Amino acid sequence: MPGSAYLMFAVYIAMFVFSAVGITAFVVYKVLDKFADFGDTPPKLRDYTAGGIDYIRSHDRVPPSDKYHLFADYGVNPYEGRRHSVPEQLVKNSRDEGEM
Amino acid sequence: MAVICRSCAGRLVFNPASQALECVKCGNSYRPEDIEDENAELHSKYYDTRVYICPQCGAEVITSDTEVSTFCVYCGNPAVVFDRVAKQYRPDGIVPFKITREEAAGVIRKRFMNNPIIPKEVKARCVPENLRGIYVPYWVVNAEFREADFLKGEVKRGKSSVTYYYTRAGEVRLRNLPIDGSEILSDDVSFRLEPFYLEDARTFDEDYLNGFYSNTSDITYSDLRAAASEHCHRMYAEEVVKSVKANNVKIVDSLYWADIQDDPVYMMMPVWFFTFRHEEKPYTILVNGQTGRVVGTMPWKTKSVWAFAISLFVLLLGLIGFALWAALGRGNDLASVAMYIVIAMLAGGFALTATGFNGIRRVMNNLKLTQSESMFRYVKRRQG
Repeated sequence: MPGSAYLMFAVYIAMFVFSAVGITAFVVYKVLDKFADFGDTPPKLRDYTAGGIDYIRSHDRVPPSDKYHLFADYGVNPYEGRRHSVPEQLVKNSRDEGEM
Repeated sequence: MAVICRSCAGRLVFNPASQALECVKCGNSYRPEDIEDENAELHSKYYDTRVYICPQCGAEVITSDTEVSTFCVYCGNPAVVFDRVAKQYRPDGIVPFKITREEAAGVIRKRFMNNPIIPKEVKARCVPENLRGIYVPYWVVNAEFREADFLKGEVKRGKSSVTYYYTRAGEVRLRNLPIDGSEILSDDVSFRLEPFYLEDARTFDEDYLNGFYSNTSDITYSDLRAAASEHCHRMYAEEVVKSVKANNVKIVDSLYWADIQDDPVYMMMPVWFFTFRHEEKPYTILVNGQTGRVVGTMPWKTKSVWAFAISLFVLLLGLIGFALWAALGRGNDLASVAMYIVIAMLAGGFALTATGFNGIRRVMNNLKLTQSESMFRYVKRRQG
């Protein structure tokens, strides 16, 4: 066989092996998921909110540089400086950890 | 705190099935709210507990006033040491256990036990006596949340895909969001235990603790805010990805903040812990004591799984080889059918590779979480 035929043969073999590895990995994952792993459906936002997300910016197909505009406009903590009453247990824990 | 039977002075234990305190000697039952607290004024802010220390993992195991702890519910060490009687801040509310110990063991057995990859010795340990009920502290908060996301997704253009970028910023108000208030329990684990339904919540009464362990909240306010942010982000991210009409959408970068409103509610939530050791490693399987939801990953027979994987791999290679031989070796209808099989298997293999390996990685991560030593790495994992 000429060299290019050997190369093609090797590529085919690699594809077959890769393909078999992929299917095997998928089947093993499904077996472990079904027989050994549980509780992987996490809670949803709708469980805790009636209105859903209120979008204040929603732009599609923007240039990559738009990331900087996004974080320039919305990259600051909007709740900074708000003060709330803190339950005694949390105050005690902060005191124990030396935060206060 | 009233914890003895009025008829025979026997110990009272809360029974989730009857939702009443039952005497272990004579079987008399009492509703927790009907039992008078003789030191109500003293107990208005605090309640009494016994604190045990596990010398192996350092966890504090807290029981109600009369309960005696015999082993660490977090790592399974059978030699916990009594440390002190302590007064704890009284939580605002409690969701009592609804699932009994036997039901919890039954749920685990039903989910895990009738399958061939769980080791026999693990199956044998799953009996009610090895389950411990713990009231885990949670903070139930109302929060405002804002997140800004820069995303990318792929859109089909003819035979190829084009990557586009997307920006989203949004706000959401959440109500009654439960945040795990214990450092011992990993946030990843407690997140998976949800939901807890607050319709069953009662005003806290330490009589509900009889027969169970409990834990007090040991996180700080900044921990709580960080955990709330992370909790909101997980749920928000799932929704924001869905808002983009493209394939393979991923969040490239994001910033998010949560603001916890006044007066978070301090609650005790019921969780059954099934703790055991297998091949020198600790495992903790959890059952939501209200809903019966099981969280955890059982150890499996590694050799059996490897043998299965290798056999399957060899079988697939043989199938592909045979199909290819059939496709190339004959010039009839069988050849074209065989060629289709080869192409389908190749395409399937390529398509399933990422899903398969990502899935195995996820299961392995969940297994690490189940191995309870990871619960103690909480501080490193918590973001904020």
